Amino acid sequence: MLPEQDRFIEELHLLYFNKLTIYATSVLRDSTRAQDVVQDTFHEAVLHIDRLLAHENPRGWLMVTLKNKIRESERARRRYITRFLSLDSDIATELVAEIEQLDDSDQQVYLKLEQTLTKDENHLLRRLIFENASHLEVSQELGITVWACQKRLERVRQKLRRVFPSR
Amino acid sequence: MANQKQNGKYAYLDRLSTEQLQELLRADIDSREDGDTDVIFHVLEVIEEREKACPTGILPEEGKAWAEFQEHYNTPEGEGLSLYPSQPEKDSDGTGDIAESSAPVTVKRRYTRQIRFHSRIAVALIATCFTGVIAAQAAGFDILGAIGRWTEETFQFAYGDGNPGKQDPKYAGYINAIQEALAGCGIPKELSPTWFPAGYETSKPEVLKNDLGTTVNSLFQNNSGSFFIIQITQYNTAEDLALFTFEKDKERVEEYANGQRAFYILSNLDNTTATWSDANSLLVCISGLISVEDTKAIIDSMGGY
Repeated sequence: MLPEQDRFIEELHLLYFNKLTIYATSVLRDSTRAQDVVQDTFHEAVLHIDRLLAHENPRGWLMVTLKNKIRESERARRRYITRFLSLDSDIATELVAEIEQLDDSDQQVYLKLEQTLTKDENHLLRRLIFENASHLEVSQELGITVWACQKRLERVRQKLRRVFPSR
Repeated sequence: MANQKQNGKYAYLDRLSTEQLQELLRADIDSREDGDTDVIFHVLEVIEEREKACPTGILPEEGKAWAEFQEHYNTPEGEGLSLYPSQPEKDSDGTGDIAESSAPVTVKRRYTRQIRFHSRIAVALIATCFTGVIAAQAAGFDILGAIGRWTEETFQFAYGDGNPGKQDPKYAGYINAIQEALAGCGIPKELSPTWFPAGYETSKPEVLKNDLGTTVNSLFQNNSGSFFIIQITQYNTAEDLALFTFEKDKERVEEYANGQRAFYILSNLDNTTATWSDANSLLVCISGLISVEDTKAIIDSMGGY
């Protein structure tokens, strides 16, 4: 980016990061994941820097982008859980590691997941989807970058689409 | 950032608790359309100030967020990528959720959405009025005990300048809607006011039911952001009604009687609240950023037609 674009993004970050984090935390009820989403919102701002520089309301643009990310990520997460586990999303959020409490059909799903994915991929799936961890947290646990973590999640999704039919 | 003028305009939000403000934010995201950005950012500013004064850990240390952004997120590896896509994903076979309609929001829909959002603000404000023990008890007002039981014969009040024949014709629709909502809940429709200050608009009354009873809420708002709410509640029992006590500030409590119905007009900062109860199961509350004179005119119009 050009120096003035850098300064623009830094200024927006300084002005609005905390506020957007408060918004995301109120909705997601998890400040770590909220910061992850907000950081991704500012990354989106970098990707669209030319448009944002010319925008009449950058603050509004950031808020709309953040809300869209929150809404879509929650929808995708619920869809993901119900598809692969055929569970109500409320039940799935309680799940975490209590596989012994699952009925036979869901235990089969869990076992299939463990056979299809590597240990790291299982860890990534469990932490990001079922435990609502942030990409930053999981990337640091696995010793990889945030973007490598994102790409691995995408590969996990593709693997699971092949193994689990659409519901 | 909110300028000084906007700070005055939204100062009433400062009275809400952090939990209530967070509830407003959740109401905003739950709405399928975007809310009033100025209000949202004022709410965020209030919470941020409180968080800086008494940190709860939701915000990182100063400078840490920017450093993390530069180190972990704003890297060449992330070019063209998103951790949290803004658009619905599609399956590998091209199927997937259909994206939500991006049709432009009409002015009327946007206004209705704003009214619903502000309805939550108004309800939260009224809740702040209805807590604590009222000092009026010490001043000699036995709020519930002094109010006489009403009967249907008492609902014939003059409503002075609030003659509905002089009002905007659309107000007749508002009155019908409130009366229908009341009748649908088994609440006497004569409790509906039949006069409202000029320049205000409202959407369909909101009916709320819980373990204590049923409430019909009507939120009115004008173009400059002033609003008032009319809440008509029927409690299941007199004991449920007695659960509510009232908070007042140093301003006096004014008793305003119209026929056999006596309202108590309270002031709380720049908010006017007028309440009436039959001490049995009914409670009427008119509250908002309106003058005492307009409040009295609304009171006078109750049971008009």
